[in-house]
Amino acid sequence: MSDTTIDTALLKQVTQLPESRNKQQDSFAELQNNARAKYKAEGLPDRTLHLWRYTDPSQFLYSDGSESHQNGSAIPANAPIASGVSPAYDTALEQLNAGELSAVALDNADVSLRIELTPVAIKAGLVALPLSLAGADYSDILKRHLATEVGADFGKFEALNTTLWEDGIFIYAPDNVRIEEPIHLLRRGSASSRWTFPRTLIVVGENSKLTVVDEYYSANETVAGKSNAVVEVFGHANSEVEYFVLQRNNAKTLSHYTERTILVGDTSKSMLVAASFGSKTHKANLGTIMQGRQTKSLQYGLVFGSDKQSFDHHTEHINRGANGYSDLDFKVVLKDKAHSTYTGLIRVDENIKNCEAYQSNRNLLLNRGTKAESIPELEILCDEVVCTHGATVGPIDEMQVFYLLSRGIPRTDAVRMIVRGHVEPTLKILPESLQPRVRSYVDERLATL
Amino acid sequence: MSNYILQIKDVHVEVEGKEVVKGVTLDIGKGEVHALMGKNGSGKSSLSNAIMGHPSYSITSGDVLLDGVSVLEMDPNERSLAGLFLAFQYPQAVPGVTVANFLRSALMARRNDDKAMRTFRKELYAAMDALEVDHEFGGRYLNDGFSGGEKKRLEILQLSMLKPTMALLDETDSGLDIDALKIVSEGINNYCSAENGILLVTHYQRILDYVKPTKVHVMIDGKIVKTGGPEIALELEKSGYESFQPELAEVSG
Repeated sequence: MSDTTIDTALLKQVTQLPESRNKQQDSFAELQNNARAKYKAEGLPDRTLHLWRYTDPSQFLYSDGSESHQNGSAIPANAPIASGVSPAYDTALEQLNAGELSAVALDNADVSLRIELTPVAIKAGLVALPLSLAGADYSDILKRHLATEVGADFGKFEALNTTLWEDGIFIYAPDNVRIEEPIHLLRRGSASSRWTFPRTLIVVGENSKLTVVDEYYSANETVAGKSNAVVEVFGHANSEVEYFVLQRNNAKTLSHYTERTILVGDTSKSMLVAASFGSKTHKANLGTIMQGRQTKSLQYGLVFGSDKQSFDHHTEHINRGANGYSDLDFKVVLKDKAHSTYTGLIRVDENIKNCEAYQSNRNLLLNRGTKAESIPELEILCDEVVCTHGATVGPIDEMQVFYLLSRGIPRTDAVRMIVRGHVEPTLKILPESLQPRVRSYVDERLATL
Repeated sequence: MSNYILQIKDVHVEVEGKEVVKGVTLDIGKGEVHALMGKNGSGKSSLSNAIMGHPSYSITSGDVLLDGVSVLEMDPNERSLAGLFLAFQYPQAVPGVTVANFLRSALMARRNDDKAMRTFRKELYAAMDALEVDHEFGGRYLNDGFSGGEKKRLEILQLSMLKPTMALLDETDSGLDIDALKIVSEGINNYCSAENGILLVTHYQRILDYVKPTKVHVMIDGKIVKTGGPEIALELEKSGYESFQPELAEVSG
């Protein structure tokens, strides 16, 4: 047997799931009670603050009539997942079998959470567990990381997620564990229109390396889903982490998403790529806190909106350690009547010297009726920094179109080429296991130009 | 069928409401290379851009015939498919679109056949080798971060792959060092045949040492003031454009 083939006996062993998804919360009771109190006590975010100027926060209030937990019914434990339930999952399993991925998780809101790893990844030391099972062996790691950055005190809706998360996913690379093949997390929404609260904790130990793909999608094309997700990523000294989030919910979904990467250790590196295609309203807040010295953070955004979709993205680069390097490239394409708001903060704390921080946001509007806002924010409290930011909003460059036309390329093809070109540098950095699919989402939208 | 590939008939061109080409007539026959010389602002680039269908340049009167057919009602891509080609003075960068992908699309528009595209790689590499262009060029984004010389080579690479019947070369020689000029000139000469025509727009006589013109036209202030053989280019080099000012020409004539 080759190293990359899955040993099914081993798989069963590592995919043991709890009796019920709902029982797991005991060990987090204190954390969650505290978050519940915060959620109740805190008022709605102030809409005069720019972060909420473009999206009505009241739509994210918990509205299922019960604060106890989820849909109240017992979820079958360790339910097998039939093939065909989720094509994306079937594809991911094929890629896992082929050794192109090191682990696959299906967080199927209504059924179960199932995680599978390749024997190679297990042998290398990768840990991927439901949060409910992680407490037994990793309570100390959880205590030091879980909800320490995005928890009760972060904001009202993050407190709500912390109160009501369903079984989350814990990914952990202990020190000196380097995993090259991506871990693919699939977050399938509920088939009913209840709220779901996906939760993720990724901890990358010293000198370790991980790549994680986190994909959010609807159970079907018709359900008006509601999702409130939180992700925390920690990079310890000299670690490398790449995190890709793909949001492709159906056009009726309401989604709220908060992510923070914390580069705790010196010379740690992170790359964050957020690709947003779906949802009726998508409110996302992503950021990297560069705590260690000489850390490096790259952030990329790719938004492609159509119809009446509304996107509201906020990014942060917070420099708290000297000699940090950060760069952000956020690309937006809008057609039909889609809207996008982008706010991007760069903060360099006092006495944090020799930082470099760059930021660029480019918005391509394919027709009248679309609207893009771009608001860069710089809070530089230290003199010795290099910092640039730029934003553009506009239609396709007619000179580019003319150049392609002059070579015989028809106008529609020329426009498609230019739009693909606009997003290509971002598509190119996606893991190979993900690229063809994300390209097809871009092409789907371009097909109706 | 006309013996002329390109006929420019009393063409007037406006850009932003200002007339920049004031009645140009010029016929280019098969196998002919015509040089159009003139100072900056004389209207030669405006003329070539207008013939290609640039949206900022409008032909307000006159006509342009390609193989006897007027191109004025055609979109720029239709003009290209009809056999017209413009090597731009300032080729446009299109970030994210690779040279290879761009050329493939341009050829697909002509062949519209996957089978005919099987030889694409081979053709591309052959054309690159002829112009001493590294094969990795195909993976770079179109004119994005290219040096002036690289952009001009890419224009000639396109010329050699798209094989138009009529090529307008707008200051293809500017920004080239002497070695690059030789290579690019060779590319132009390889393209030349008894079946196609070239209009070479330039400031300088220098490229005409390599690409031999059939006729040379001097353009001043939107009009062609003199037409003759290659000797005119040498005369220009010696005494400058001033001696071709219409009023001076009359006095000397």
